Amino acid sequence: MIETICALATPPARAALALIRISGPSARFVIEAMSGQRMSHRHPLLSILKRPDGAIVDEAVATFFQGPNSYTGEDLVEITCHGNPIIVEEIIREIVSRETVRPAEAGEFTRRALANGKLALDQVEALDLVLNGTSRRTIEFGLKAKMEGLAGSVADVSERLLDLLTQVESQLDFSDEEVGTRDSKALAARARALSEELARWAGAFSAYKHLFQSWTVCLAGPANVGKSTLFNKITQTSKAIVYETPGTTRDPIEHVVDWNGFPILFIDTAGVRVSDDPVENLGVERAMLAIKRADIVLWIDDRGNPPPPVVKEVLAKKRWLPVRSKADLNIAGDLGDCLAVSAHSGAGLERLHRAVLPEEAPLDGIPHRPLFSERQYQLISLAADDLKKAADLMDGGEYLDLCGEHIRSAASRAQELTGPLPTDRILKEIFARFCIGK
Amino acid sequence: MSADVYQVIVVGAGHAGIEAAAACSRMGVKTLLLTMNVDQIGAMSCNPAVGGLGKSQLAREVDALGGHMCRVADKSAMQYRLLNESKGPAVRATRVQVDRHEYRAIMKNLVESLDHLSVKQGQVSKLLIENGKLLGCATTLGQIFYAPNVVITTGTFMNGKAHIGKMNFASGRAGEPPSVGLSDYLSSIGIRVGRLKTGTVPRVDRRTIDFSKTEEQISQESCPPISIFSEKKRSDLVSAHIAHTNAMTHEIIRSSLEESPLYAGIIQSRGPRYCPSVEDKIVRFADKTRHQVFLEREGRLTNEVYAGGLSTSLPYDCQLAFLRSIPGLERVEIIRPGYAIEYDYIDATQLSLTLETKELPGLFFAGQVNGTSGYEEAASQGIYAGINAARRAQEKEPFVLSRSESYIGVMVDDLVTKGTTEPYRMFTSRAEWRLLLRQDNADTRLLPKAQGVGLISSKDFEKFEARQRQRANLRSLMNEVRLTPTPETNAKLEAMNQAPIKTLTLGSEILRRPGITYSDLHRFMEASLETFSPDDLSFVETEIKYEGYIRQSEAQLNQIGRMENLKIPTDFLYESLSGLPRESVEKLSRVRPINLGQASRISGITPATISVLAIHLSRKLRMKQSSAKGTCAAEREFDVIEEENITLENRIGGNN
Ligand SMILES: Nc1nc2c(ncn2[C@@H]2O[C@H](COP(=O)(O)OP(=O)(O)OP(=O)(O)O)[C@@H](O)[C@H]2O)c(=O)[nH]1
Ligand SMILES: [Mg+2]
Repeated sequence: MIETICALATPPARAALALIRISGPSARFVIEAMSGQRMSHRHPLLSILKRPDGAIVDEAVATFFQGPNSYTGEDLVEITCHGNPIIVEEIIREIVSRETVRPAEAGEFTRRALANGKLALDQVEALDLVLNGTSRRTIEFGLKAKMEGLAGSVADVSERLLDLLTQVESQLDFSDEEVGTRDSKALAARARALSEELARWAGAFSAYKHLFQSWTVCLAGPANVGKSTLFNKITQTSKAIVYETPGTTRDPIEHVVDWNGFPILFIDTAGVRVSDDPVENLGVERAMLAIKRADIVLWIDDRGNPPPPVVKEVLAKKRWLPVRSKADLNIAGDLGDCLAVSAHSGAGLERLHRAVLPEEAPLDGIPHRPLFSERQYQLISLAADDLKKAADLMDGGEYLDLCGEHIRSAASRAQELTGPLPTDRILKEIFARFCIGK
Repeated sequence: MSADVYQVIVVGAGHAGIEAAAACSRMGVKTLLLTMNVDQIGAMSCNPAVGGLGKSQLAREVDALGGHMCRVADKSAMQYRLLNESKGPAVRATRVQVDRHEYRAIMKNLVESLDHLSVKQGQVSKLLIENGKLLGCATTLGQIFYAPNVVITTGTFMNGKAHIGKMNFASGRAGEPPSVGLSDYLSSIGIRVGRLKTGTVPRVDRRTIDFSKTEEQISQESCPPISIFSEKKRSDLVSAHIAHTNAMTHEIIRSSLEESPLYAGIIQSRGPRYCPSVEDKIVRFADKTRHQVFLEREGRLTNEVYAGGLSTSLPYDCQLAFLRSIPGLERVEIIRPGYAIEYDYIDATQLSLTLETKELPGLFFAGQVNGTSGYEEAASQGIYAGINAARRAQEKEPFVLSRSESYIGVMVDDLVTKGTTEPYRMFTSRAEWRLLLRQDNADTRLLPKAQGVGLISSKDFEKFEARQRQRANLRSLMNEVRLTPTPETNAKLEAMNQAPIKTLTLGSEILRRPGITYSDLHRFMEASLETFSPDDLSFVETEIKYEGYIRQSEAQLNQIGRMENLKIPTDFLYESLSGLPRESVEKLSRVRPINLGQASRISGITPATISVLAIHLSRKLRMKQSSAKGTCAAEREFDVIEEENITLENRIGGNN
């Protein structure tokens, strides 16, 4: 018996409306029993929901979706009721009091959709962007990715990988008389071209990955230069403690801001200096780590001094920007080509805004639908490496079984974006193309 | 009465039955081999050859388990060929064409002389079952034999029906009666049966062939014996000959297609795609202007010649006409025409990973009856089922081979997990771990394991050990090679189209370069390699050359093993798992996989279903472990699995 599950889909707070979902074989029965009305697929019905003793629970709109044409692929009911938590709780209690219904576990609706093939793995990843995205662009991207999916691109790439694999495997499993000898240089050239295409596909990811992985901006600099003040100003919070003596901030403090539609993670850190206080020194260690991990570092100094050598070494490999703080005070020092800002007056903040934004990556020119998770990126990069290796080996005159190994691996990786590659597929292809027989 | 009580009964004495019975005998289990015709023990009904692409790996595995197929093939050999030599060690394959009469005679003699084994003629009509327990079987003559374990290896005999043109008649193997009634009986006890088709080629008279118009293919000198236990090859080997079909042949066949039972719709069951009839070849690959015909003698004391490549079920006249259109066969006479045969097979998804039926413990099925084709596929299932029947008789743990350690494991897992709707043949592309499963290392993979269950005689084990020493010697010889960057060395390298070396270089490093083989390396060695067998040379070359890959595969295996080996209780109630689609529940309940890996290979089971199962199983296991203070390592492993799943869950978010 597949159990029927029920849960509130909207946040558990007082609101005008709330949405309750029921999924599973008894969904329809339950709503028909409570409303006393027959439900039909996709027809919203205004219903008076009652308890078995006839007491009215709420006046609500119920919509029935017949499986498999529903979100979960099972029979599904959506009840839009009044958003008073007392009402919501009572409706849910009423529903799960039925023998075959129980409260859903976290994520169970989506898990059922995945299990019923309503969503592919990449679509679940896209859904994650839609639900948990912290900026408008991320959500837009997620919606598009969820609707389009990677399936089309995967099918296209898999088709060509499978073709290549078929050429190689047919050589390995059948005699030359049956399948003919293949020109290994030509095969190698095809593998190489495909490898380059996949590498471009994967490579593009790093250019726009800030859409789904927060772009991290680290505020670092000597003690007491006004990092925390600036952090609070930028994030419009008062998360960081500001105080007039140096050594105030210890733990890194984070906050995500939607800037021009991008999710940007700002990190405030302890002022870099050597202190007598061991706790403060530990804070500086953490600051150094944050500097290392950030996508861009703002080196803040109220005198516009360059960073000390230890920090400079780390910054050498990164994008970073010298910032002169407390511009309102006009402190003497080496001005250089620093960006001058004042957290107090707000001067220079507009320029800082633009300076920390990630570069706009064009989404066109990518050979396929853009990838949108680290997992996908890894799979396609590895597949590209596999193919390159296969091409190199074939060109070097290596045994074909070894070359085949790399192509197999590439094919199964590409396929893994949405699901595994069944081995019988290859044989099926071979039989369709070659005349084989003893 | 007591004489008729055995521990194991093997029904059928084809390639599967022989290996099954012989394995039981080696393991000291009292066994009865029942066959319809004792003259046909070890008969080769189709191509008289052992090995070939994808198949020699299986044959070698049978050999490594102490089986007889390869040894007898060497004793009755006519011609040897080493296939795919240049394509790599993982796909390299030996093929021995044998004298089918000698093969059968030697096999029969051997089977009759095995300890603990009785051979009797009889046709099994039903099993003896009482209260769901298997007690033995009964024959059509009313003889009764008792044993708690029965291995059925009836090949293509069940309800066999041969077709030549529109004529058809009940038949087992070429010219033998079928076994009627057994499959009906099996259906009556709830075993699902299906129907398959296969075919064979015409046999022609050697005296009517003009060999001067054909191409000679001599036996390959450098090819080692197929059995690792055979010291040397016979000296009286013979050649095969190759002829070709032409436009005329194709025209004759095309114009008589309506006479073909296949095209006239008389035969509806599925035939093997990899072994199509000549009719199929001509229809499906119309653009191919000619096909090869292998003319192989069926034996030294017969003039029958096997016309390989011309499997057909066309009427006799038509067979004769198209044969005579082939250069060299203008005056040919047919001794036996080709025919197609339909037969019943059982749905192997009813079997567990030991080839035992899940519903009736003690009842095993092996060989062509499970829907496979080929002697090697049959023999390897036979030996495997035989070993497991014997283990069961001994009340010991089953003997299970995995996909990563053997082709037998690949085949059995494929069969019992996915079943088959066409005759199943082994291909190397079916094996995920192809580089690990080579014919040259079948013995290192399986022989020690086989010895552990009593399948290997001490004499054979000594041979194996000697071989291992030999390989170790060879390995150190190759590892000792040092190349100094002298002009002479670099000249040699350049002559092989290889980049010169700049520093002192190990021979093994050179061997790892693409395109370099042991014979290239040999040019830099003082020691002679003459004393080493080609098998050992290939073995050591591969171990060195593929070392990185082998290690990587092993690491991957370990990683996958975690998930793969997540056990599923056999009485697991899939219905109780929320979130599984109905079809998945049905499929899983039918196949009843023993672990998550097997579950993931069931066709139509999606990765999502597997995730749901994994979450459930790992959670359950953790609960068990935490209540029993589980071992740390195992717990950590499940943590990883669960973590992966939980991140997915978390990513999915709340109750959306
Ligand atoms: N005039 C002026 N004072 C500022 C400005 N920003 C910060 N300050 C003052 O500078 C002092 C230190 O500010 P914080 O923000 O705590 O400095 P910090 O760099 O975070 O210091 P640590 O955490 O100790 O490294 C405070 O007294 C702030 O009021 C500014 O833009 N203008
Ligand atoms: Mg601070």
